[in-house]
Amino acid sequence: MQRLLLLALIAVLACAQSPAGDAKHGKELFLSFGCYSCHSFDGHGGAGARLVPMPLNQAGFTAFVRNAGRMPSYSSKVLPDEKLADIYAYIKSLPTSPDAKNIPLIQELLKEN
Amino acid sequence: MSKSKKTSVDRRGFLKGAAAGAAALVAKPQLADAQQTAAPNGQPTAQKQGINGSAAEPTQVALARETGGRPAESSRVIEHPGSDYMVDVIKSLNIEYLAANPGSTYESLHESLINYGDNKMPEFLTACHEESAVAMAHGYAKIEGKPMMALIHGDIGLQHAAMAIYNAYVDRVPIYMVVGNHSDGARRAPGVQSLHSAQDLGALVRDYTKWDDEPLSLGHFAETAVRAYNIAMTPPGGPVLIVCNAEIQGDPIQGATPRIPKLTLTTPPAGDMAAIQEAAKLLINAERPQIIAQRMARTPEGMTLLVELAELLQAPVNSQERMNFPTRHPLAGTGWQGYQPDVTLNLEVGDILPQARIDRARGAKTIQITSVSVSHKSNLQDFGHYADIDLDIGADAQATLPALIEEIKKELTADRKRALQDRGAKLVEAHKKAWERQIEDAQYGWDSSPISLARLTAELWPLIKTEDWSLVSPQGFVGNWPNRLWKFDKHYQYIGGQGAGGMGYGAPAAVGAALANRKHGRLSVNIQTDGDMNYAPGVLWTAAHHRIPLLTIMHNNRGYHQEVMFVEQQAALHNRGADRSHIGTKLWDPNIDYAKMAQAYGMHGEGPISDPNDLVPALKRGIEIVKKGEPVMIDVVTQPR
Ligand SMILES: Cc1ncc(C[n+]2csc(CCOP(=O)(O)OP(=O)(O)O)c2C)c(N)n1
Ligand SMILES: [Mg+2]
Repeated sequence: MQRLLLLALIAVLACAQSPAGDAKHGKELFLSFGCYSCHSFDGHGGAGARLVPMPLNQAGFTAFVRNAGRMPSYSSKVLPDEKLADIYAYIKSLPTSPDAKNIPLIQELLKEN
Repeated sequence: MSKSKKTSVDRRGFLKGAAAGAAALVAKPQLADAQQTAAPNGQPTAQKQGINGSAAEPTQVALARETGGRPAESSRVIEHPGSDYMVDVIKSLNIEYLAANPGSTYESLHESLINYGDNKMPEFLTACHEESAVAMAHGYAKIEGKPMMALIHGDIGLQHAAMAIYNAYVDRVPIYMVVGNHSDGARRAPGVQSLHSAQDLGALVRDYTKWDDEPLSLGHFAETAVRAYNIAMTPPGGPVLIVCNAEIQGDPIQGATPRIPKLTLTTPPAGDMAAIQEAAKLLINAERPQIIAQRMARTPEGMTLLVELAELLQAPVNSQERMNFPTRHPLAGTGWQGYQPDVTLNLEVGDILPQARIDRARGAKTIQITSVSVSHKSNLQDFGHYADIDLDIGADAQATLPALIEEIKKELTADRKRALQDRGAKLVEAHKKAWERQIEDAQYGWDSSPISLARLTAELWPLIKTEDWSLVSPQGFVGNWPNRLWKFDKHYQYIGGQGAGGMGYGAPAAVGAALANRKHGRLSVNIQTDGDMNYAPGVLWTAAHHRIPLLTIMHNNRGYHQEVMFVEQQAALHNRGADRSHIGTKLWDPNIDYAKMAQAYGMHGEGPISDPNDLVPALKRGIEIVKKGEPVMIDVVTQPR
């Protein structure tokens, strides 16, 4: 969490104007680069973190991918900023999950304890 | 005299020795020349040669077998082969089932089991792969707490079985293996009988077999058979192997049959009293103890003991690999956020967990109780990474808990008890929060297609919770969702993982566990990964053929997902794109149709299901069929993990 806040701060201090990405191309990259394999097809997490809702702004996201912690880091040679912008745009376009409060099965489960 | 002739004579000497001094009882070694032993299909039954004579050239029968021609008419009948007596010995061990892929190195025993033994205790299950046979026995033993037999064909069958044996070895699970061998070089036929035999067959798997022997007479077989059973069962349990010579199986019983030795199970080794007292002191005085249990609860009693210990100490329990501890017990888990253990108690832990090592580096004391400490072997590195331990008790953890509990009860003062109760109250609160968070986390990806593993697991729960259910598959690759969402409180409700991480274990172990669950009327549920399914899918036919009720739900992420992630990591590390990581790791193009696969093997198959709204009706249909006593497979296309 602290790490995310730090990155967000760096991002705010860094260029405020990142190029807007193309979500359609971002989806292709999200799939071909296998982002889905840890974050799931809709960004809801799995072996890796949940991306939806995305807590970072675009610059923070780019900074994170360049020097990730547990996740593999991707250099600008491999994923230039424009491509990351596209991936970011795709992630931003993904719908959030329904709230647990509105899922009867989850509410039933919670009553079991 | 040539070496082979001498060996042959020596072997006969053994056989004669076994019979010496006894009145002729059953053996009728040779009948009239003209007597024929034709099988119903008109093919003469297998014949051995040189039984009473010297080592001879291969007979026409043997040669015909090798060349596929029609053998000459037989001239002998063996009414009481040694293998009949072997069946008597095996029956004395009360083994319910054997799984086997057929082969001529054990043909005499095969025939004795099904006819002389009436195919009961043990009952024969046809396996399509030796790995399946052994892994079925692995799954069976984890439910039933005792071994099933795997009958294996010579060196080739044993090589097929090898990985499954290794898994069971590391998982400390008893398996009773018998492998045929044409040991007598002078008596076996040229060709496959030689190719399928070995001078020291056990050597092929000895590195990861708890014990093996190659008996040289029927009397020797009997002692080995009973001894092997006991060794397999004595903690730490493990697979044992009897190399069963074709000659001893097939030769007639000469004279009086040898006795059947008495089986007495060795009591499990319990811990040294001084060490137990020291452990009790450390645990009582710990501010934040953590119990970690892996292959601890061998029986339901193990669970009861661990609950008693945890409640006495008010210590959290991190349970893995077995049903050691109820998942919704308020002490289940790793304590409150930031809980830094100052003592860890490791019960039958295979390789001390990284977190426990970090805890020790921070000053925590590490106590270990495991019988594996006193039974190590070399070569395969299953002993794990060296761990610094402060108190290492070489004993079976379950057998040691009663004394540890007594000692703690004796030493616990009223003051200390109150302090522990305070800790307990905090742990209960933390557990409640963690549990609720886990359940709420199931919301993420709830509506996704492919289907999230949380959704799949959550939807299953209301359908099985009113049944007597048992999860017969590992959980690591399904995000541990069953543990998070379901209420596990019975020993048979979970069987743990592969042991040595060898894939291809899942499907057959599920079938073996479901076989054990069948007579108890339990609903066996297998959440089955696709990569694992495809090593030896023939086990589905075994389940269908033997009417083994089992609900298999494919966790079909269309790939070896674990390896996809590893290759992606490497690509990033090598500063290259991850966009080719699917090469060699994905199972698509074409997609595998599991509904058809199931149907081809003779069971109900449905899917692929990728819309979460289609899930429940399919699961309900599946459960109805399983409750009628059949296996079912439902293909669910899933998120990677
Ligand atoms: C015998 C064997 N071969 C290869 C591996 C390497 N391996 C580890 S996990 C894995 C993927 C298995 O795929 P699947 O069962 O579909 O599970 P998933 O990773 O997709 O969840 C493989 C191949 C192994 N552990 N055992
Ligand atoms: Mg898979």
